[in-house]
Amino acid sequence: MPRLDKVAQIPKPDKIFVFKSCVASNKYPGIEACSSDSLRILGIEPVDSDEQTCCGGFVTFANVAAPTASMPAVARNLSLAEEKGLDTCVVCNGCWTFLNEFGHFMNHNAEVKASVNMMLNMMGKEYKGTGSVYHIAEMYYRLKEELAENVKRPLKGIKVATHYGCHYLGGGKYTAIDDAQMPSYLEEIIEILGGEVVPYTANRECCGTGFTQVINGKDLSLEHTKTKLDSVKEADPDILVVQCPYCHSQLDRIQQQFNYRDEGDFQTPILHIAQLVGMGLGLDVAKLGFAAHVSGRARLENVLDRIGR
Amino acid sequence: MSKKTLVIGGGIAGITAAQKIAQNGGDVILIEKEDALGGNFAKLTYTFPVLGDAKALVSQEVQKVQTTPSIEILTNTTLTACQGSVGDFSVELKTLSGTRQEIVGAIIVAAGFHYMEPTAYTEYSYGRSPKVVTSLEFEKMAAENRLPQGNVRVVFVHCVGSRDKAKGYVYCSKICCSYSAKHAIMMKKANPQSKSYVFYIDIRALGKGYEEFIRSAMEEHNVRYIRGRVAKVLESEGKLLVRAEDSLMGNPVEVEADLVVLASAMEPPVGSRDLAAMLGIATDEYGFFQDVESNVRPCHSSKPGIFLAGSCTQPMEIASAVAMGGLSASEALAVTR
Amino acid sequence: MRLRIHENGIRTIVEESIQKSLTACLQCSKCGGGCAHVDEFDLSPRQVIEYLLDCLDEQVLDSRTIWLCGKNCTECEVICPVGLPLNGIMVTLREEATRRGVEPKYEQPSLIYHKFEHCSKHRREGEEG
Repeated sequence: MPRLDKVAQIPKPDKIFVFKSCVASNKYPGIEACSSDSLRILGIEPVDSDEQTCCGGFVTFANVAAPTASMPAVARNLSLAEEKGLDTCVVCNGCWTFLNEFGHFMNHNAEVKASVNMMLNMMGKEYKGTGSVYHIAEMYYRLKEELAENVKRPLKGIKVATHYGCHYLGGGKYTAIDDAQMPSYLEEIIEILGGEVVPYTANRECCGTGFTQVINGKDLSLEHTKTKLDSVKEADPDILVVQCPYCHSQLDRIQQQFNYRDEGDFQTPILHIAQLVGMGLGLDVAKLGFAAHVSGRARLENVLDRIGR
Repeated sequence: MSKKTLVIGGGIAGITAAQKIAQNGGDVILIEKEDALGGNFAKLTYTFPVLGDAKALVSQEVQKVQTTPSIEILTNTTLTACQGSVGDFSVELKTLSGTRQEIVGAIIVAAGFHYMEPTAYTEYSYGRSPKVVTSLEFEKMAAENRLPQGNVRVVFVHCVGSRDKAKGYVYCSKICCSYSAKHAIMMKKANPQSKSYVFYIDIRALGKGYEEFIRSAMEEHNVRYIRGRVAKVLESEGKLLVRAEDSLMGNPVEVEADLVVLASAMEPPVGSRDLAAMLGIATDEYGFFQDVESNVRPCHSSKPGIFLAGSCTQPMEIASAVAMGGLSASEALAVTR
Repeated sequence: MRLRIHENGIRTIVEESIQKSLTACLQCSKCGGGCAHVDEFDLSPRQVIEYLLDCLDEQVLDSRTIWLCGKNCTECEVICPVGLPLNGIMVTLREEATRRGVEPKYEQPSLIYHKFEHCSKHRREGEEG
């Protein structure tokens, strides 16, 4: 059950700073297009900035650099939203965790904040710690009434499975809007869009990215991806919806690698929640950016045929 | 000075206290917030460590108090106010028909306990899967002959809410080890084809006949005990996957089960802190009623004239609750005459 | 060989870094039971803690577990009944192993290996050459 008290604390602003994700924008442009357009339809004007950089999570998660090394990057990125007086909306679990946790860390460690600000001052910026960071899935859940009113292309008869991703719910996150073991807000969003939720056994398992971070121990990581994909295949959904572009890329692209190496036959389309919402809100098919998807293209076309283009 | 005693709670401790006072010539008002006497005891099917018929035992005791003229029984009744001191408490009782005032000389608090609702334990799929039940629900299923039939596996999970600093209570609920063994035996008796698994951390079965009881579950009823706390219960194609580590071997294990029974913690009765505030007595950090000295005066509350009995003071089994009911009755008699 | 119990191990370093005593561990093994990765470990997380308490420092620092566990997955931390920060413990152990010059017990990233592994065609070539 979603923590309704936390959901109620999420504002419905006129404008929000949309934080671009490196994986989403580079690998799946549909996520970026859909998140901006869907927010606009739901009554929030997305604002972005050319000055924004990567959240810095990648170097930390891949054990390349110490967490403190990317602290100034986090502060700088958050200060961009603060300058505009806006809250931040992210599309990636990694960005969400990183900006949120490091922001929290700096806000509660005056010394770190001061030293980070010393660096930021050199480029004429300052991190105050006034803005909040929200995941786009949280925003959709907050705006579920608006969402329900604006469904133009109901996902009638489409079977959708969910994957939340470790870095949003894992670790008993203090700001996540749902329980780590038994989340259900994505299911609710799917039902609002008219889709049918399909359960599967490995729902709460990791996509494989997190296990020794793909780069450092690919063989270990693939085992977990296989467990996940095998379980998904059994449930046979039309779409597996994720809320993290990295899970998206792992689950989408590794399917093809398995197929190529004769380690299975996987054809499940993976969609980001922004794309799913975009689809439900009736965005132009080109905006959904399905051309960048690797696995299950035929099935995606079939889904579009069934719900209308 | 009033010679009457007010007993709060019609469970086994309260019933015993009322009986003992009446047997020794005292007058009792026995109030119970539910519509029938018996408390948690009446919700059980069997007792342990001897498999006695719980329903018969409790109804026998209930009948005794019902047929005693010097015990006035008020069901659907709660205490709403209490003033005064030992020998002269003025209490206000809210019954179905209205409120009434009474003067009593002593008060015995036997408010019982509550089985924790394990809603925080979402890793065990409680609330999501109908096949994950608490021990209390299992008792109900057993009483209504709804236990699963055929070749099924049933998993019993110890320490759900007990011995858990993070999500539950630090204390050990004392009776779960024994009643889980009882449930495993009940399962085996109701369905000899079934297989039972108990996941434990330590087996805490202290007292006469308890160790033998647990051993009989293992040896005579073939219940498999695995040392390791269950980490996860997943739903998988109509079955439940129970994941844990067999810590004696150090191996991760998985059991495909048809029913998972969570031995949820005993917690203080609902509203125990409010009741304590109304009576002006102390509770401990969890909300159990606090005794002044736990070794030699276990039934004395922090206020003279108010005595404690049963599982509203700490997790305890039926035999101890009965003993404590008797003890508090004699203390109450000492101040009312 | 019989283990002689003593107290002078890296336990103190770990406890200092997590600001908590390792004796809090109940040895209930819930951590290992919920772990998705435990098949790869030689010691389950609760065994790491028991080894630390027994001051079997070499075995802990030589284990695969400390290199594979504790990388922000936090699955065990969420369910630990006493709230031991297993992530932090593993990080401290990795630091200590590095300080003592203990070689990490997992395969190092190798670009050649990955190039061949990605694609069955290249992998075959790699094997031949």
